[in-house]
Amino acid sequence: MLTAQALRKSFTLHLRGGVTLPVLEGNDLTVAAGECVGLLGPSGVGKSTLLRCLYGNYRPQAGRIRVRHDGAMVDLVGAPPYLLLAVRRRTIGYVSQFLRVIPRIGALDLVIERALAFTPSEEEARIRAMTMLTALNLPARLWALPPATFSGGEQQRVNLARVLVGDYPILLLDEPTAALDQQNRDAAIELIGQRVRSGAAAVGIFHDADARRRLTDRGVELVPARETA
Amino acid sequence: MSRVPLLCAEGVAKSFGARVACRDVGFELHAGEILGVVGESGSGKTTLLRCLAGQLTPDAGRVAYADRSGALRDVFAMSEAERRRLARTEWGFVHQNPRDGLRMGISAGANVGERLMAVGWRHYGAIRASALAWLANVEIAADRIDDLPAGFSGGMQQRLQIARNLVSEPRLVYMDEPTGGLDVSVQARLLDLLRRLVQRLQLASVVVTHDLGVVRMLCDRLMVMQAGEVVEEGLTDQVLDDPQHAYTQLLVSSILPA
Ligand SMILES: Nc1ncnc2c1ncn2[C@@H]1O[C@H](COP(=O)(O)OP(=O)(O)OP(=O)(O)O)[C@@H](O)[C@H]1O
Ligand SMILES: Nc1ncnc2c1ncn2[C@@H]1O[C@H](COP(=O)(O)OP(=O)(O)OP(=O)(O)O)[C@@H](O)[C@H]1O
Ligand SMILES: [Mg+2]
Ligand SMILES: [Mg+2]
Repeated sequence: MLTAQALRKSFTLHLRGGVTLPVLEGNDLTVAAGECVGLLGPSGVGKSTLLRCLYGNYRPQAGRIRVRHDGAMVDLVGAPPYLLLAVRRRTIGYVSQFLRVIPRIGALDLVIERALAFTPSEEEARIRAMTMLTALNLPARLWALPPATFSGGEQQRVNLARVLVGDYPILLLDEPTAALDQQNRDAAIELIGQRVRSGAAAVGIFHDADARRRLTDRGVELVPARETA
Repeated sequence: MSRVPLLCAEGVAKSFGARVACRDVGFELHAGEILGVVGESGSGKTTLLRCLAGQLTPDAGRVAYADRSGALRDVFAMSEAERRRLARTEWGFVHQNPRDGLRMGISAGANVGERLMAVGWRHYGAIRASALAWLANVEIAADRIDDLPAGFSGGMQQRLQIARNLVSEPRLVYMDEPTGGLDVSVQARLLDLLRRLVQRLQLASVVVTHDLGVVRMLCDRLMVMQAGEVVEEGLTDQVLDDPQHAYTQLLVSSILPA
C-alpha cells in the first residue's frame, strides 16, 4: 500500500545563519494492507517528520514515497499539486498531534466535509459523521460549535472523527490517543483497530504503551541522523 | 494520471521601462483549485494577476486557458474581442478597491444584472430575480437592490463586487487583496462567505493577498514572490509548515502560529 525508499530530509534554518539540521537520512519503510507499523525512537529523532513526509506535508530532499491511489501506484515526491490533493482526499488520512482546522465551522460540519469524499449523498455523510462522533463520545451539545474552544481531548476526538469517518486505505497517526482519558482512549483504539482489520495500512506513533501493544503489528526504530559539517 | 489544466502560465515576464515587475513565472492551475500569491509590496503580484487575466500583455512567456470546450488556448494569440468574451463569460476579477470593480453610478441590482446582460440574458424579470438571489448570497438585504453602491459600507461594496463577478458563473476568478482595507470582523465574514462560494461553485481562483490568514482559510496552494520572481511554491501547508526559502521563513516566523 505504501513504500518509502531512501528518504532524506533536513531543515536549513536561514534565520539561524543557514545552519542545516539533518533528520532523515535514507529511511525506508514498507507497509502492507491490514498492517499497523509503529515508529519508535527517542524524542526529536524524526518520527513526526517521517509521517509528515508520507502525507506530503514536509518535502523530502531525496527519496521516493509510493502509495496505491485509485488502483495505481503513484509517487508523492514531486507529485503535481492536484494529485497530492486527490491522494489526501481519498487515500491517505492523517491524524496530526493537534487539530488544525478552518475557524468558525462547527465540529459536525468539519466531519461531514471529510465524509463527502466517500459518499455523494449529503444525508449519508451526515449520518456517518454523527455515528462517528457518537462512537468517539463527543457530547452532542458540542457538535454545532467550532472546536476552537474545545478541551484538548475534545479537539483530538474531532481530529480522529475527521479521519475515521472516511474509508482511507492508508492511515497516518501521530500520537492519536495521547490527549484522551482512558475511556475515550479505549474507544479510539477500538475504532482504529477496526479500520486496520478491515484492510487499512497504518503507520503510527504511539507513546502510550497500551495503544502500541494493542494496535501495532511491528515497530520500526528510527536512529538519530549524524551531525554533518 | 495527468489532466488538462484550466490555466497554464509559462515564463511570464513584464517590465515597466527598466523596472522588472515580474519574471519567469510559471504554474498550472486545475479546475477547482485556489492558488494564493503572497510577497512583499512591489514584488509583482498585481502585475502578474493582470497578465494572467489578459489585461496586460506580458513581454515574454505564455498564458493559456482551457475554455469550456476543453482546448488550451493562448490568451494573447486570440483576438481582443475573444479575450473580452472570456473575461465576461468564464473569468471574474475582484479588485482590492471595490470602486474599481463596480459601477458607482448605477444601482446594486443593476451592477449584478449588467453582468448577466453581458452574457446574453434579456428577460428583465429573470435578471432581477437572479440579482436578488445573488444579493442574498452575499448577505445584502433585498431592500437595498435599488440603492447606489456609493452609499454602501466598504464591506458591502466588496460583497456586491463579488456578487457581480460570480453571478455569471465564471470558472476562474482572479482576486487582488479581496479583504484588504476592511476591518477585521468584516474581513472574517467576507472570508467565510468567499470560502462557501468557491466551494459550492467549484471555482478556481488566483488570490493575491498579504494576509497568511486568508491563505490558510482559502488557498489549496501558495506561491511566494520576491522582487518579481517566484521563490517558493507548494501546497499551502507545505509552504507554511516547511518553508524553505529565506524570505518565506521570515514571512512565516513573523506571524503567530494558527
Ligand atoms: N518545520 C521544521 N523546521 C525546522 N526543524 C524542524 C521542523 N520540523 C521538525 N524539525 C526538527 O526535526 C527534528 C525531528 O523532529 P520530530 O518532530 O520529527 O521528532 P519526533 O521524533 O516526532 O519527536 P517527539 O517524540 O518529541 O514528537 C527536531 O530536531 C525538530 O526540531
Ligand atoms: N503601470 C505601471 N507603470 C510603471 N511601473 C509599474 C506599473 N505597475 C506596476 N509597476 C511597478 O512594478 C512593480 C510591481 O508592482 P505590482 O503592483 O505588481 O506589485 P505588488 O506585488 O502588487 O505590490 P503591492 O503588494 O504593494 O500591491 C513595482 O515596482 C511597481 O512600481
Ligand atoms: Mg513527534
Ligand atoms: Mg498589488
